Amino acid sequence: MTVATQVKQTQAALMGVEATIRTYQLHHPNSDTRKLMEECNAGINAVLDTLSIRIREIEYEEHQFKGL
Amino acid sequence: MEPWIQLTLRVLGLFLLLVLVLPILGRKPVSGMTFFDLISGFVIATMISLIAFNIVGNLAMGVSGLLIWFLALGVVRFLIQKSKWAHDHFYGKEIVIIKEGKVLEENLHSTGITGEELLSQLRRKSIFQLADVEFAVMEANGDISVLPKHEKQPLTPKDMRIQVSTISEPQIVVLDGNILDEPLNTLGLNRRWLQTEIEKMGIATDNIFLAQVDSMGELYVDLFDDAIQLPMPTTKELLIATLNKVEADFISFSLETENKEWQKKYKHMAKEIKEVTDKLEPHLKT
Repeated sequence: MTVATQVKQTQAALMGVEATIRTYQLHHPNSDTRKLMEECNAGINAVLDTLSIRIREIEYEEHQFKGL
Repeated sequence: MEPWIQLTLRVLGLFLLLVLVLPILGRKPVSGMTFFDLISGFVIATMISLIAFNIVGNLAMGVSGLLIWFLALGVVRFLIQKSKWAHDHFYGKEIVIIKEGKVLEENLHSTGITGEELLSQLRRKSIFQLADVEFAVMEANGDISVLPKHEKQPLTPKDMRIQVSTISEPQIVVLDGNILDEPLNTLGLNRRWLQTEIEKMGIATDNIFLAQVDSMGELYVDLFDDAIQLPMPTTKELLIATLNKVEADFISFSLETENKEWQKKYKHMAKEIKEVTDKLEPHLKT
């Protein structure tokens, strides 16, 4: 079983990445680039959803890692 | 009137006249001047000097002469805009001297420069081999414009099939210590954003001499105090590095977990992240 803290750290890093991309997307002058960044973020959010499912599973099986 | 008062008035008067009439001379840079422009300039200069020192005698005659010259120049400018014939006559047509790699000797002769001169001009443009030239034309002012053969031109990202992001011009947001609101607004930002960014870097606003923001919203700052070392903005590199780390994490999770279903899912997520990184990379390379 993967250690829950590691997975949560990865989740946090990925959320940070998503936020930064969103900031760039708001500022970029080129509309095609903005669309591309939106697509990237959509992909990242899909991964984040899958990841949070796994985290919930881990928390269910190992109660001590629950929280945050 | 005292003679020196007369002189001062005359000189200042001519100076003012020149300043007011100068716009009709147009905006050509000195290197773009033709022989005609040059001679014209000398004539004006001589006229002004003679009038200033009263060598012409009658002030009214002197200034009229000058104004007539300016008027003539103005008419010529106007004609040049309207008629191609006039333009060709005053500025000359460009003459093609090298086409498809071959020197057109007759044209070269008509420009009045020799083969030796041609080679010398090419050398000044860092071209030492005539074989490297595809096309060369002599402009109206004697400058030679050279198009090197394609394989001798510098590499571009397009040649390498590397996709790059379009960059807009960066905006100067702080100049000589003053915050410029207009460029900030053009980028969709305001002073509070600038404040926050500067606080994040840990510097005082009044210490900033110059600040620029690029098209991605990245701030670059130059301080009055040159002793302070500022870290170069690394958000973009950090972004790529973080994405790579996340991808690596997923791969190691897939190896560590015993759950077969999640092994596959982790691998899939790693692939997704890699795709995102590849899509994003060209745009973060500015």
